Amino acid sequence: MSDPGPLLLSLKLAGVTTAILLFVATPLAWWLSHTRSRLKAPVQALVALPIVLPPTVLGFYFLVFLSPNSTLGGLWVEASGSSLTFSFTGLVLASVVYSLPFAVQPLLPAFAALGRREYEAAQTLGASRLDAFVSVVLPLALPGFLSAAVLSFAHTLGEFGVVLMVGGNIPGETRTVSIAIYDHVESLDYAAAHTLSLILLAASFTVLLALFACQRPRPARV
Amino acid sequence: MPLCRCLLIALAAAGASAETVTVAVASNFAGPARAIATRFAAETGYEVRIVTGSTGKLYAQILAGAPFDVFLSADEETPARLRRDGLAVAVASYALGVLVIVSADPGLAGKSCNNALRAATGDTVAIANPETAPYGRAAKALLGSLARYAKLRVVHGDNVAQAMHFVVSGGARFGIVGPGQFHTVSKAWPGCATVLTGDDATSVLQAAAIVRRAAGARPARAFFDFLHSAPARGLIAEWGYGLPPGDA
Repeated sequence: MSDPGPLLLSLKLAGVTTAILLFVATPLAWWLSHTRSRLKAPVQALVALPIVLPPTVLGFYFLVFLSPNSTLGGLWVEASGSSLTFSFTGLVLASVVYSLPFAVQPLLPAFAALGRREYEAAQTLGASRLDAFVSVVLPLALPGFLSAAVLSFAHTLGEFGVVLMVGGNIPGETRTVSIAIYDHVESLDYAAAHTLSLILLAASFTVLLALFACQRPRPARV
Repeated sequence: MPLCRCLLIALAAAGASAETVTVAVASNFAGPARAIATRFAAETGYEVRIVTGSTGKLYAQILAGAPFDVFLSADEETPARLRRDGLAVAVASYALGVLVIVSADPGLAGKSCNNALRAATGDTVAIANPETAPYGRAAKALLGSLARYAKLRVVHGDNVAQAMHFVVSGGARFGIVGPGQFHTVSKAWPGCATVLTGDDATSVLQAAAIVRRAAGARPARAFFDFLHSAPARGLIAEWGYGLPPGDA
């Protein structure tokens, strides 16, 4: 027995999270790589927190802040009629925070190496800031974006502790692949646990292999 | 604020359809609950989603707004408390659970697990977390009454299913679990198992509740009532559970 539901749900969660993260992390990383603000260090520390914090801590705070008894959670229930905790939307929100460092970190060196020169040159030639960013910075920093996307995706795919805390293991809604594996092991269905684990192992390896293969420095041509 | 609210509405995910009933089940009863759900779905056409966990954890999740319609607890107290707090609209007991002492040690095959546990010293015994799982609480009480609690290494599973997993995977020599855990593996069990039937001190009366959010929802009421139907009672007995007093 191997239900593809949890696998598809994880892929969907990772996909949505990665898409949102690229939008959130890009301006953040751009700002971090060029600012001289005193806020730089605190913001950097804040962004990196999920790497260090146990997922249970993150999950616990999400549970507290997203629960219908909290201000944000209550407002959400009022507006949408459903709870943020134990829902796919809640998982997306938690995953965005949880995987944020994995999207920001690869962009930092890419932006730093680029400097501001091309970006400013494009602006002096009449391009708007957004246009200069999209048509000059984006293509030049593409490898950084690729790493950011791949790492966010893979990190969200393997997420466990946070999902366990705020998700509640609901089929089709919050039972992601890692939770399903945990569930199969508990119900002594080792065959199903093996199947899903093997798929996850193979997928993770393939993704990382593709990433590192792409990043290998190309031999210089004379 | 209006913009913020619009965004919230736009972002909100659509809930499950009205013809679905989400049932939160204490881990000990996961097996029989799945069997009952399959039968129920075939007879009524409603879809059933099963969520499992320890009673205490599921209770906390209901407090935090989890979208459960029906809650099959491993005790009577938790559903009663939900009703007192206005979080449950109907409560009824559905099964009488008993403790099962198990060991996967082939050396104990054909022997009494009860005697082996009473004689054991220094062995690891897996039970559910007594803080959150009624079966863990009952198992701890049993170990205390056998004066074994201090003589054995007691490890806690998150719930009774995890305690069983510790035994099956060889991590713990003994386990004290529910009937549902043993029934899953009983056909090819290498060691011993003792079912403590007729022991009032260690039996666990399990009650179900309709959670407030599902008040008036037909699928939830139908599943709740189905627990007392002849087919469900047959499955409950098949999985090694007794029927609640007055319901037999």
